Amino acid sequence: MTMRRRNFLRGACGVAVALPFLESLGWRRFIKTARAADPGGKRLVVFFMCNGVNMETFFPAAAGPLTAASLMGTSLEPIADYASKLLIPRGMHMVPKGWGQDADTPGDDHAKGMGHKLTAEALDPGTLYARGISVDQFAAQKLNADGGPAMTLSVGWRHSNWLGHISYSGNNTPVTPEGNPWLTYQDLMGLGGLDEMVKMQIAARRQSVLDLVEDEFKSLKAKNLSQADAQKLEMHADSIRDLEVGMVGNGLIECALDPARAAEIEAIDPDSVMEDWQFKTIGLMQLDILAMAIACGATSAGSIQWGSGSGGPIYKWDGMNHEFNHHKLSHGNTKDDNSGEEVAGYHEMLTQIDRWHAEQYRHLLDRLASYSEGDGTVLDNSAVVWFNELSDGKDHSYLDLPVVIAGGAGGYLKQGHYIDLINGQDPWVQTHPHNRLLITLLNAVGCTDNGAPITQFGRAGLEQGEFAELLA
Amino acid sequence: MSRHLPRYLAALALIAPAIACGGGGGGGTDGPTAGTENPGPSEGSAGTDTSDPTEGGTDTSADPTDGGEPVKCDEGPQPGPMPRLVRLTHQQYDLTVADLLKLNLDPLPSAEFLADPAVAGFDNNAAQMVVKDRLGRDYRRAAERLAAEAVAPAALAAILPCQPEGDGSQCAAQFVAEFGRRAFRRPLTPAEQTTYSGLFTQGPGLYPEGTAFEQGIRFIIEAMLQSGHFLYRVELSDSADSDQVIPLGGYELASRLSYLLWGSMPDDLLLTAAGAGELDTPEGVEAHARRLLDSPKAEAPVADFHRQWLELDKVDNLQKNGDLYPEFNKALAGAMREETQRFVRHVVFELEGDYAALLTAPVTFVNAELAALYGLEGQYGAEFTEAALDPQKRAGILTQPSFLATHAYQSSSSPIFRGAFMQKQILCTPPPPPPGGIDPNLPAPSDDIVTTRDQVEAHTEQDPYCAGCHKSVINPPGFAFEHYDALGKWRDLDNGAPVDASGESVSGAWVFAFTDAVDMVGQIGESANGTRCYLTNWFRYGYGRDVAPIDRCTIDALDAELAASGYNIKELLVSLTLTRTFRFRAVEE
Repeated sequence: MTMRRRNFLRGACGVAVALPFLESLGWRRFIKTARAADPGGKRLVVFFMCNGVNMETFFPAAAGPLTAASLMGTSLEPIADYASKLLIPRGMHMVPKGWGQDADTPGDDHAKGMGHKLTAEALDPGTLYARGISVDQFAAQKLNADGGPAMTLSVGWRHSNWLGHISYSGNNTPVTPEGNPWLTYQDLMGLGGLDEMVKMQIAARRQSVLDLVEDEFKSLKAKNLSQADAQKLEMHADSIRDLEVGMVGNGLIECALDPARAAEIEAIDPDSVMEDWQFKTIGLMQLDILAMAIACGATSAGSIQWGSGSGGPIYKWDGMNHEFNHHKLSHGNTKDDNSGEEVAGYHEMLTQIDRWHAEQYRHLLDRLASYSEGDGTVLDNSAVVWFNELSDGKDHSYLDLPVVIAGGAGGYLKQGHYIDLINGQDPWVQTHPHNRLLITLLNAVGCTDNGAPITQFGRAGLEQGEFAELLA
Repeated sequence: MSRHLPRYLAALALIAPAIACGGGGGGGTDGPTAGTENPGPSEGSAGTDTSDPTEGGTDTSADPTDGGEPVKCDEGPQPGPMPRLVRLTHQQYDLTVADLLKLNLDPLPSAEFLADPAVAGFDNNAAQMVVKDRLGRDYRRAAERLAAEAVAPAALAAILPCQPEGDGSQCAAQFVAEFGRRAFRRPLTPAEQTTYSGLFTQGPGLYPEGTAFEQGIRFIIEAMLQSGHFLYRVELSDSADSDQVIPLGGYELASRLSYLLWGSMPDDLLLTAAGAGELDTPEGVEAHARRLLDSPKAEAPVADFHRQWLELDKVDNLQKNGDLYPEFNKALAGAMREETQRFVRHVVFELEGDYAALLTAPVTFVNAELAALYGLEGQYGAEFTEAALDPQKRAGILTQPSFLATHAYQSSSSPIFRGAFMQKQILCTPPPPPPGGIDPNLPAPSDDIVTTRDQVEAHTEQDPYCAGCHKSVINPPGFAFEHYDALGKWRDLDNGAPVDASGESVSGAWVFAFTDAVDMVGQIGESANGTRCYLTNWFRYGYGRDVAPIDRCTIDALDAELAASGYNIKELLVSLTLTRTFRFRAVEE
């Protein structure tokens, strides 16, 4: 049911169009050419993995300067070439905490791991969605000239509920990720890839309909609506006003993929995008689109979520031939409810999975580094952060979070370092709450609180201020 | 450095506030929130079971008219709070555009729509259904696709009221009036008629293909399908009558009727009746309610209600241990859903049965695979056929695999899931959610612990904290189903020992003892607790809103009326259309 581009192109020359009439419809207002983000601006990109990692094999052996050699043999070996552009801070714990440690916050450990991680907010007891904005959407609001949202993508099957969401535009308002790369691409391109005439036709129609619908909303709102009903209409109007974004870009890097790549993306069967066998293919497509959107200035922030909390695919590619899905393996058990048998060799399988994700992370870094900008690349101006729902999956641990940051955000962040924030102490000391990492990242990419540095993020009462240890 | 974390930390960390299961273990209507709830195969349940939108989230299946401030019903039932803008559900959207455009749509337009959240167990809550996030885009995509399909020559002829002549503008104006009346479910205002007719002259040149006439009509359809008057049911009536309530206009009531009973737009007869004032009286409403219920279109909302109430979507993600259940596969899971929906249709529409029949009728519909599961003799094929079941072993919806297999583990039954479902969905007395950090693993079988029941009792009934809810509220109605294994097959023995399916349980103030599931569901089918809970759930679904305190009077009155007539399900639906809360709107503030 998706609108296919070839359908437009087929008839493009068939109808003689009265151009002056199109002009009178004001389509140019509809196709915005203003850029969302300036060239050379800073960006925040979130690479989000679920179900934890094998903590024994994820990190380098010892804290200190990072080199390709220090990553050899770890799950991070695929990004060894980027050692000098990496920052691996260790010893942070999630806030609000897991394991029922914050007794007043609802949700099980998976719900918390997904909902807390980018928001540092508690979940709503009624819906189990987070009660505040996430760091990617916050950064987009601050950095995008038009206030447009962060790009929010997913790969593979995910829960449609709180276990399948990480990004929030506000209290209780999860942003549903797009899992279909062709729809992602169409949204990004707007009408950018079409024949000029077809583009004008579509733009003119959409603008007309938008005007008409907004007029209707206006007269409805003049009636005796309750506040809740009026808010519904406002929300609806916002939702369709966002659709006005037709053509974006910074004019330096084209907001379009190579036509051959675009054709591959278009050829994906939309019914297959959630299936395990497509996980790798879809993932690479989403990464290509995400990197392009960031590079061409369509948005300054974005996230990509792999699988789902308490879910995930059965990995059967790139040398993996697993029998059980990621969640089961994270518990080393043949059953999701832990009632089955232990899976022989599950530690090694988890390492394989972590390593495979490091390869995808590598692909994202490669793509961002392929776009030149100023004296460096888009990667240099970005903070590309690999988060995980949990640390040790079997324990559902919220302590000692595995976090990798690539790109120094234009020199703000320290690079080429593996830093132990808690100096070898037991992670149970809990001296470094992860909301301060979120604060650090927001400052790193240039967000401010009315011109002053951001000092707080997340739930009221959390510790404030960035981690000085992570600054260049 | 030491990074090892002791596993028991999680357990140590737990200092959960105690929530009692109410007095002697009953009740549970003190409005527990579902913060930590995850009643499917528990928190570790994989990429699968927890996706059910009826799980977790806001679980308000308790009857909220119980407790709290007493509401006086001296003046009879009065309308409850209802938004003026009610967005179509995704299913209603699909059914409506199919009726409006007279098209068979595959795939369904809503297949790519952003899913709605479930509130109080149903995904049609009027206050929660909003257009946000990418749904606006989804609607636009669908409108553009549907308008293109609608003006294909054969399709256009089906919705065009006239033969275009000249520039076609006269026929187009007629189209706007007639199609608009169906799309907005009321006649257009003169201003709307002008606006949409104007699109006809704008349309030509705006599409790469089609005649000028087709392009004009296509543009009208594309716009109407994105209008708020199409996407929402809009109720603007505002004049209170002498009783200080607002009577709904005829067209508003026509939409309430057709969306409750068909899940789709009113047909021409209903719109004409609305225009003629036929719906201004209860008799007029009743006559049309009965007419609508006699149409096959009435099956869709009835199926949708039972899908959500019985949590049938869980079959989509069902998994079973392949060693124990080699016969299990996706096709069998799909057949379980089909079986229950055919049974419901049979009871409601063919038998014109009552609530008790839904819970007790010892018949069902099976294909070859399901027949094998039931141990039925005889020839069965791919088609579903009606089959009589052993009335000693099977009775109605709750002894069907769609419930039994989805409320079980992959290798074993789960008295806890089944019992919690009974209390929450069937009796409207939901136990509070389990505390966080509990160990879901039952003790392994031993000399003393043989059956699943033994395991559950040992795990949940020793510790007084757990026993408060488990011993008399959750476990017994679950034990009643112990004759059915993880797939729903009958068994006399469990792990070599005879099954004990007897028990005594409590729901609110009602104490009930039973010998097995057939006995228990028979009692529930005849009980005031069971019927009122069924009614309360229909109230939520049928009116698209949760129960407010003032609604107690409406539910009391309906309950008494339906009890007198034996709780016939079609009569229940008719009754829902005759209440004051259905026919009127409350004056706000």
